[in-house]
Amino acid sequence: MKKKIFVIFGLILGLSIIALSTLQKTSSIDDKTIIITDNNLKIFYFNNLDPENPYNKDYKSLTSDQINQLKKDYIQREVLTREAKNLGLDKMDSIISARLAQLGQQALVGFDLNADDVDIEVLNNYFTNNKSLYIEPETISFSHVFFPSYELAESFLIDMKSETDEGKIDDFIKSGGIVFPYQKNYSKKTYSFILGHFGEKGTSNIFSLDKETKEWQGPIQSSLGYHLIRIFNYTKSKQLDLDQVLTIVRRDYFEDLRKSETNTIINNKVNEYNISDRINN
Amino acid sequence: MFVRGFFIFFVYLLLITNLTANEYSPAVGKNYPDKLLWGDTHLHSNQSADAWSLGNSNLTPSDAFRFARGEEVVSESGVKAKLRVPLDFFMVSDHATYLGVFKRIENSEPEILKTPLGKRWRHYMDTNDPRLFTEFVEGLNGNQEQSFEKETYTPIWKEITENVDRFNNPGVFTAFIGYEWTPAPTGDNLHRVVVFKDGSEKAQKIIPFSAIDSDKPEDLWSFLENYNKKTGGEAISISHNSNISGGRMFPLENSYGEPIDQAYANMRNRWEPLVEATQVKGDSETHPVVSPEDPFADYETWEGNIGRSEVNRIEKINTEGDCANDENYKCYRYKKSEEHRYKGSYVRPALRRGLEIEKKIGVNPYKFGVIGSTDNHTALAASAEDNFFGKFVDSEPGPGRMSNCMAGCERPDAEGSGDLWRNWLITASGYAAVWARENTREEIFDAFKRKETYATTGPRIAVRFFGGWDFSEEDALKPNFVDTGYSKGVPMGSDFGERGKNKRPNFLIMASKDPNGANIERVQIIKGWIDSYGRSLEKVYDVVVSDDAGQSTVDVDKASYDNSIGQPYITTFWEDPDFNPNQSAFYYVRVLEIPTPRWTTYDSAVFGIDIPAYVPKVHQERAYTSSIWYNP
Repeated sequence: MKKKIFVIFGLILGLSIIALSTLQKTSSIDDKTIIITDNNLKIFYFNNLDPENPYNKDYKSLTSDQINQLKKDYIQREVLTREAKNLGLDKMDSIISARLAQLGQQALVGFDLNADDVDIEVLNNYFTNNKSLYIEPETISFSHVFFPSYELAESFLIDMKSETDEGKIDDFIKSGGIVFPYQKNYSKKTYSFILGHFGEKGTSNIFSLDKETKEWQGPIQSSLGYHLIRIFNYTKSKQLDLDQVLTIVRRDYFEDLRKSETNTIINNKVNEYNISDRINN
Repeated sequence: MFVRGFFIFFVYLLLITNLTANEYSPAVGKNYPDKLLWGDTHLHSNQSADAWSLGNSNLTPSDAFRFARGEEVVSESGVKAKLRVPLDFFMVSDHATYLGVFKRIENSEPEILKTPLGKRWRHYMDTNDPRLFTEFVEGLNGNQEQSFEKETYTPIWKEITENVDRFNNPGVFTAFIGYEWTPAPTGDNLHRVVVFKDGSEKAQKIIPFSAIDSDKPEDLWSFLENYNKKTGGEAISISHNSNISGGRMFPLENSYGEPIDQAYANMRNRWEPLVEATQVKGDSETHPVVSPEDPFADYETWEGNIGRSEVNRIEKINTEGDCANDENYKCYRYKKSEEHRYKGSYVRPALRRGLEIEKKIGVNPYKFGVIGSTDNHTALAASAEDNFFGKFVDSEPGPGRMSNCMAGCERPDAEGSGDLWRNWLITASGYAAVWARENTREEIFDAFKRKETYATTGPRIAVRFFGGWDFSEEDALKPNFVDTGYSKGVPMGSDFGERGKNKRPNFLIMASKDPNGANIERVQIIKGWIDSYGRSLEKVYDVVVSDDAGQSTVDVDKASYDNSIGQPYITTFWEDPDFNPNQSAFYYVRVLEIPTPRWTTYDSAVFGIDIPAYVPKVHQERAYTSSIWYNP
């Protein structure tokens, strides 16, 4: 099985931390001593360069004034970092804590899962247990006429309903309303698609209309104005078969597996700790 | 007898003329773009060297596509992320320089470790050697010694392009193949994204042209031309972040220091029809120095900390009040001697400069359209103020992002620049809007080429803009607005048709709010023109202004607003009152929303943190269209 980034990253991180802590233990004279070496100054310099801007000066070509400035910055950073640590601020800062937790997870959890390895029966079981995730969403097909006000829309609907000649109704519809920025006709569109054109309220109103009648309905309000709607087709959400979604099921299965194994590893690590819950005790 | 015969012939002629002028079938001649599609053509995943090295080691191009088409993904920092409304088209544009190699070296993939550089960099990774970063930077700088053989990229590019094809779903969701070309000579940003019309089969016949190959845009355009000749396929480039180009994005001279000539202008127009005018690193529409009469010019302006070469060019213009704080980048400007750089750095002055150059050489080199995109490096194309996932991992949602810096604060003060930028400065922007016939690669790409596109800073504001000579006020109110627009005029991105005698240019404009966003405060037309001395000028016309313009409903503490002011929908007609038929001109539309909270204000409410005084709390998001040009 191919090793994944986490393994290598975790190993590098882990080794770096061990190496760094060993180095600090053996070489630190006291907490008030700051040792500047060419290497740590270099690392400080490079770690603070802008990777999008490739025209930073090479470390070697920095002038002595710039090196002195760099040392000053490095010392200042070290002093401030140590002071913050002495005050225990690193334990209180949510950003440091979140980032360390993220790095900790990457170091602890390192594995790759090969999507070809799994048996179809396993996938079938996973699919059966999670059927509700694999549903084709409801879709709707309709035409609409757009108006800037409720009154205009309502009066247009009354006039239209008084017309009995089908051919004339079509002409009537074409001449009604004002231009809508998106489409006049929607064919088999999902709720999330309609949401982008009519807003939350408008979409909810459209999907709440009577889907059986072929008559013009409304006016309903969207976030842009008022609409008369004629629904042509509505398809209820539908349960899909495994073979229709096999690729997605495989992906989801491994994603769930990864999450579950991650949780196991983290929980095992949690079990090595003594937890003292002082709330309500 | 002769008179009668002539009369019959005349009536016959009239009938024939009428028949040919008005087709029997109403659908004939109505094959115009009627779909407004939303997308992002500029986003980075973990295949980009900088995204990877700054923390995004996990989110792949596939994650980026899933997010763009509306699926929930988990960000690098562990926050669940989902778009409120999916995008219609999308492109991952990872940097061509070292495309995908860091990821593969870290994974110890045998092919990449066979290369001398791959082997060396693997060693650097294992030993935490800082030379990894130096050599990476030198490579970006065009140092050939730090490059891989072209063949190294073959399997990487193959994998990337084939993956894009898997996400392309014609009619539903368009996935473009593309990448970013990333030169920055002396620190001035000349970056472009490259968009392919084609699928992987054709795109795989080349290897992306990178900044290591050349830092000259002319060479990129030659590469695109050769791709076209070699494969029959097509690709274009789209420039971005002209605002931090030091005036070099829209220059007076070519890359060799020679004045722009017809050949350059034609080449640029052919291969680079669009400019990405707004994105996470600020807005590039215009700048207060070049548009002093425009009260809305200072929108998400970036200056003062935009690259080390900028440092000697800028000065602090005020040291009092909020400007006492050095981190208030709004208080910096180019020095007087450097102000000429603004003209080559922003879209509006570039459109004006194009007219000036055209007067001299006969071709306008800056006849481009506009789009917006994100340029996020998090694999998440999120640009809503209340759903913003930042530029790099260090600006993903969290209480610290308003005060921290891109790639860390307190940077070494080499050449005086210090921190690269504070993350409060980044902009939750933008998206590309396209008028197309269908949601397919071919149709959207063709819309790019004819510039029937516009930019928004994030909200999905719908805008139609037609120019002509014969529109009337009634045309704006009719339901066949779009039919009229195309039949009697031209859409955004076009040239006016032939002028009728004694006629003035007039326009039909329709603008509607983001269906899930804020109302519109005003619709404006921005005109640029050239006078008889060859000087360009500009003017902003308020075409429709809401009665309550200037008011705000924003509650900063709650990070909320309401739509009790402004208008949800505007359709209007406008005629140029100052038209001079002897003067070349361009016209574009800008739509401003009512005031809404900026992302930093949402952060303040969500994370319970204070906003520094100099950070904007309220802003007016906007859309601006591609232009319509008039030539005498």
